[in-house]
Amino acid sequence: MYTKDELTLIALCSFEELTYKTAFTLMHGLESKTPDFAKFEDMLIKSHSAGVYNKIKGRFFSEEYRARILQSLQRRKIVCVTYFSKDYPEYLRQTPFPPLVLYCKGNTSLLKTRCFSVVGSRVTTPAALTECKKISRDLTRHFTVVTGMADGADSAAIEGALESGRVISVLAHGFDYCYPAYNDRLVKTVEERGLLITEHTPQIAPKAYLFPVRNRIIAGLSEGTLVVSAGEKSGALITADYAVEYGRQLFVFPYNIGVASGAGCNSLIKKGGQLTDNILDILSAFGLDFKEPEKQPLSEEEQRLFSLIGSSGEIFVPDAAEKLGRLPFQLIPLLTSLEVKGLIVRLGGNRYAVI
Amino acid sequence: MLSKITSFALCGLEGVPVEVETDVNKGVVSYDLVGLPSASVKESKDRVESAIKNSALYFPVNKITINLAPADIKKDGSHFDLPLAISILKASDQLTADTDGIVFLGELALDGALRPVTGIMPVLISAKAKGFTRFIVPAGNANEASYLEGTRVYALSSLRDTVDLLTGGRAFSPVEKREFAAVRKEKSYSCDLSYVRGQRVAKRALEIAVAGGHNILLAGPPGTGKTLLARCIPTIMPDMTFEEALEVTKIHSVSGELSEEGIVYLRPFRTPHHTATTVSMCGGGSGKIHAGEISKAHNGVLFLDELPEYSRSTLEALRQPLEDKIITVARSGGALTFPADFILCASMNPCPCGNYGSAYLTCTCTSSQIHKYRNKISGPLLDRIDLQVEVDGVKYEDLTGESHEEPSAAVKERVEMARAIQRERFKDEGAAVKVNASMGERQIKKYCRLTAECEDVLRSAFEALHLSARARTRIIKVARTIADLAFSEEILPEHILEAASYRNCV
Repeated sequence: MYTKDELTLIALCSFEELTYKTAFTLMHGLESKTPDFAKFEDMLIKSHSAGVYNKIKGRFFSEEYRARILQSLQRRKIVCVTYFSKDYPEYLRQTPFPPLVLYCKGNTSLLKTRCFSVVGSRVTTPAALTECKKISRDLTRHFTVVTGMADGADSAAIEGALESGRVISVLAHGFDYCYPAYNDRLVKTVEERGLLITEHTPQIAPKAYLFPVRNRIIAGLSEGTLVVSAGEKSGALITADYAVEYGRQLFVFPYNIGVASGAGCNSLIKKGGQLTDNILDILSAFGLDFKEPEKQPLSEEEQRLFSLIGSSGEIFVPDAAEKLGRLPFQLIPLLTSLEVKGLIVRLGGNRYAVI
Repeated sequence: MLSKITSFALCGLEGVPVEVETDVNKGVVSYDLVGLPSASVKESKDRVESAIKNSALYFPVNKITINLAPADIKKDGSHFDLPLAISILKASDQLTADTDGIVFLGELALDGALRPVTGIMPVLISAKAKGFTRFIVPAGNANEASYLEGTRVYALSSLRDTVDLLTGGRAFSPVEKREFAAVRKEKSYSCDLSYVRGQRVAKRALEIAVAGGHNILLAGPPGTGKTLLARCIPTIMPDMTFEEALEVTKIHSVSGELSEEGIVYLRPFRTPHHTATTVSMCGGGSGKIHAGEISKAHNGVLFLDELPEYSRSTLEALRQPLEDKIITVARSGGALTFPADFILCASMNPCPCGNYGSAYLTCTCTSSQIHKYRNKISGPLLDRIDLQVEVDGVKYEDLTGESHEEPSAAVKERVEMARAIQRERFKDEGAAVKVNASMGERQIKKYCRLTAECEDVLRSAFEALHLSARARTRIIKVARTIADLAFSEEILPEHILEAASYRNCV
């Protein structure tokens, strides 16, 4: 199971009183193999208080306390991958603030695979969502897709990658909570087929400030990051900043002028993010190849309509009908057929776009 | 002396004959009214007394006992004034004319004038079925009483007139019969599909909905014409037959909502506000059981604007009548059944702020707000709405430019042809199945055979569009209607594909 050092680390991380920084410093003191807690006395008393120090000290050396912590984790079917573990992802270890313990639920072997993160905003256009799903699915041939658990882009990335099971979802809170609550079914599916990880002990509730901090793990785990959508102040931009800081590659979907949920993406491209509109843009950057699945044949009419949509990227059904000299309802079967073949997507308000 | 006069009491939409028996005898001066009269019937004493006195007649100062038989049904309504007055006059020997077989209905004013009452139409229909043919009703109800063949109705304006008619003191002519078809022709709806600019996709969906009797949900941003589109639904429905009009008139007559014409000649369009309670929607009430909005929308359209704003329990209560096309309101005093065969049209915004899904307007709702908003409508209710269609956002040019829009009459013609095909198809299925929307599993198997090619298309549509298993029946039924509109015997792949496009947009 866990080595003695790992157990010490798990115990250390179970103290909610300690800040990440203190725990991080303490951890490096532990690496001497002879945990000498006392020599941190001054530091702990200085940064916290004597009361906290005494409380922690009492529990830190108590075998009973450690057994209780392990038991509670086991009961919740949580596996810990600690900083000292050989399973700890190398890419994450290289970042300046690696999580000391990764609490995991699901298939932990995914941590040893090559990872690529797909992130985006909760408000994302339907076309971007469909493309995000498709790219995530294709990415799983070479990578494990890493993302969050929010609505919109995160959920789409998970849905795309779930089929292969190669998906890691990084939570910003402990396993006792589910956020957003309506995603509980998705959380369960990821637990069964992929992997859920968090750096927090189970009883930590979701708080707004935990999410940006969580984003460093998403970026840190991955060799590259794809930003699917981002408004001007999106959390996805924070992930992108971390990725750049850690020297990982950044890929970004481009957006039309004026699309609010794409303003942040366009500014990332301006700053040097790789403009990405298909899977090849990503895979070629890593020297990987990709074979496109065979295209389904289109009828003559479908082809005409498809090229019309392709010429402007997006059409309004009555406009297209006028251009093709047909009645709107005559186009609907063709549009649905193209949608079924995965070539276009419905946007709402009777508009369709190519993907 | 003893007298007997016939009137009617209403039990829901059914009239029950009531004998008004009056005994005027010597004894301590009193006035006793027995036989389960409601408060409004009990109050009649003062009206009747004043009306008799003010009609230059004499109100007996004796022991008066009045019985309303049968004694076990509750009698409600002000229309008992006239039969009570006549029966007192007869019992006190002021009136000796023969009143057998005449049904008296009417409320009295203190000066003896007759005031119009509610529920004339259902009483007339029930009474005619029970063999009564002669009626005396208030003049204000003349129109309502003028449509039924085989009845002889006198519409009078006062108690004095009634006495004169009975004694033959003056001559009155019965109400002239009116033809429903003639009245119907003069009337038209205030809306027309040609007033709605653009919205071609939504208009097509309305046509399909009406042709197959499907319920429809319009989703779209605020101010895009959802309400106007909904108001146009009755204009493309086939004209009501006289029988249908009578059914609707009965309900509206009992509720006292009948217009001057005395009959409902246009299909009803009901828009209960979203604060409506379950009782106002489905019917009920303490004491007298009233018909709800869904019954008032019978043979017409029930329009629920801003569907998610209605209370959950009100919406869930619609599920059963949507299946059965009737509603049985059970109270401790008994159960009543009202018809409720309507097309449900609902509208909603895609999210609380209305901009969700729009490319250029920012939606300010949080994702949990959107989930909450959409979760207000339960799956089982959505399953009963076959067509779910998105309404286009309207561009300014659409409002100002010149464009030719198809009038309702043209659409109605196509609808009527599709309905004719369905009448032919379901002629052996009984009254429960008249349109494609009311097909059950058995009928779907029988009339909606899918070719292997169609099965393939349907299967791939399910996989690609993530449809729920429940959506399958809906798509097949709608595809059947689309095929009917195209005069196609078989359901073709294109029909399936079009039907699949009117799927969950919420």
